[in-house]
Amino acid sequence: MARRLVQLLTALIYNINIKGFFAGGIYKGRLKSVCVPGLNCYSCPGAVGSCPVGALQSSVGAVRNGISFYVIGFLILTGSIFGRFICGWACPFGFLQELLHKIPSPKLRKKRAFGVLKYIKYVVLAVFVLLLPAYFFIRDGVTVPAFCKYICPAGTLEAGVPLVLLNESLYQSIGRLFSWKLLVLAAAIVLSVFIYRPFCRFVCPLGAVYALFNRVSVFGIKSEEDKCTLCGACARACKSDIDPSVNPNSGECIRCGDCVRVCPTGAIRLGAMYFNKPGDSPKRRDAR
Amino acid sequence: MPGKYGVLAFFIAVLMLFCAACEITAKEDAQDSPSARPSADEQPAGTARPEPTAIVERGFGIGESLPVFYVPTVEGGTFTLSENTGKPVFINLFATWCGPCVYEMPDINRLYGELGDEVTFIIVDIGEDSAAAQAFAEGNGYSLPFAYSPDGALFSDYDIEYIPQTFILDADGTIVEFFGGASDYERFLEAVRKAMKQ
Amino acid sequence: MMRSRRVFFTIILMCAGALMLFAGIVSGEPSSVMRKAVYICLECIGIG
Repeated sequence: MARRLVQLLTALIYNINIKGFFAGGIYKGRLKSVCVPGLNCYSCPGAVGSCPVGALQSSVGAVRNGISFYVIGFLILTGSIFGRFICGWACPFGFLQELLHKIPSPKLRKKRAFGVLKYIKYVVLAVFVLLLPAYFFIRDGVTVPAFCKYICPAGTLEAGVPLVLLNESLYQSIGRLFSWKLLVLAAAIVLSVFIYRPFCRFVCPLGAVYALFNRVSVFGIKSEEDKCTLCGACARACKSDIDPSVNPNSGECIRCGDCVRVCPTGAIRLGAMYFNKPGDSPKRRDAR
Repeated sequence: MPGKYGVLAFFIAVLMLFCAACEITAKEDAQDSPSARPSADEQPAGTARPEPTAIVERGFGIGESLPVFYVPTVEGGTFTLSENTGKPVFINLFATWCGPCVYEMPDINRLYGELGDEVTFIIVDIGEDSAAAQAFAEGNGYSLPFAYSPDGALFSDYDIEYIPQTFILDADGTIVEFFGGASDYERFLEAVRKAMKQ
Repeated sequence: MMRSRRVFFTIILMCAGALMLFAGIVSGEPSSVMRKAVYICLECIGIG
C-alpha cells in the first residue's frame, strides 16, 4: 500500500543519520534547524531534523518573541495543508503503533471512554508543551521541555534507549526519571496491541495541533452526499471510531484511507478538497 | 496520477537527497577515529599513562588525563588546563538554556564557596559568548569563575555531545570522577574529597 | 461548514502560517532551534 511505503520512507528519511547509532552520538549539522512534520525526537542518533514539539518547548522564553514563530508558523502551515495526514502518513511513532496493532489479539474498539479520552491530548498540549515550560522559564529562567521530559515515549524509544546503551557514562546516570519514561513507553507499546494508535488518539500534542486543522486542511476526506447510501461500511472499517459518512474531517481522522477502500459507491475519497468540478464522475481512485 | 512506482522513485530520490545533505552539513566527527586520544607530548609533565578503570567517554576514562584545553574566561584572560596543575580541578560544562545545568549550579557555587582555595574551578559556557555567560553569572550572583566556548570545540578531539558534564581532576591532572548529566552537592563533594586525597 | 467559509479559513491559516514561518526565519530562530537540537537533550531521554 502506498501509505505503508510512505510511512516507512518518512521514518527512514527522518532518521537517515545511521552512523549516529554506531558512534553513540547525534547528528550535529545544519539540517537540524529544520523541523520534520511528525513526532521524531531530535536526540535520536539517527535524526537529521528537529521535532516540532521539542523545538517549540525549548523556544519558550528563549527567543525574542517569547516563543518560536518559526515553529508555530511551520505547524500552522503544515496543519492547514495536510491536517492529520501527517499523522497517518508521516509519523514514525504512529507507524510503530499500527504495526504493533497488527499483532493478533482481542481489539478494544468504540468504547465510550475513548470519546472522553481523546480530549486528553489537548490538555497535554496546553499544559506540558506550553504552560509548564512557560512557568519554569518565568520562575527559574530556564525552559523545561515538560512533554519531552515526563511523557514522550517516542523520545525514550528513539533516543533514550539507544544512547543509554551506547554510552557508558549515560548508562551510569540513569535514575527514577528514566524508569518512569520506560514505563510510559511500555504502556504505549502494550496498549497499541489492543487499541488502535492509543498514543496518537489520546496523548500526542502534535496530533492535537493537527487535529485542529482537520476541518479546514487543503487535503482531506471528500464525501459526496448523493452517492452515500448510509450503508455504514465506512464506520465499521474506521479504526479510529469515526463515522465518515457523518463526520468526514473529524479531528480524530488520520486519513488512513480504510473507509475509502470499503465504500461500495465511491462516495468517500481522499484528496484535495477544492478541486471538484461539477459533474465530476468520481471513478474510484486507487487509494492504496 | 503517479503510479506506485512513481511514488517509490520519488521517495528514493528524496532519501538520497537527504543522505547527501546530511553528509554535507554534518560537523566533522573527530571521535570516529579510535586514536582520538591526547598525544604523548601534550601530557602534563611527569605523569605516566595509567590504564583507565572505566571508560567515561569516547576518548578518555577515569584514571586518564583530560586533553589539554584552553578557553577564554569572562574576566578577559585565558584558562589553560596545563597551567593549572598542582591543585585538583573542577571543570563543569554547561549552557544557560539547559535546565539540568542551571539547577545544579547553586550546588557547585556552594562547593566553590567552601573549597575555592584548595580546588581550581572553571565553569565553561558551551555554545554561547562572553556576554551570555557573564549575564548568567551576575544575574544569579555566582562567584564562580566562568569561561565560554562559542563553537563548543573545547577539546580538539572530543565532541561535546551533551551538557552538563563535570570532570574532577586531581593535582596531576588525572580524571578522578566524571558526571554525565546533573549531579548534586553531596556527590560533587565526595568526588572532590577523593581528588584532594590523591 | 460551507465551502466558501472553509476556503476562507484555509487560505487565512496558510498565509498566517507562512508569514510566521518567514518572520521566524528572519529573526534568526532556526539557528536557535539548531543550537538546542545538536546537544543531546538529557531531560528528553530521561536523565536529569
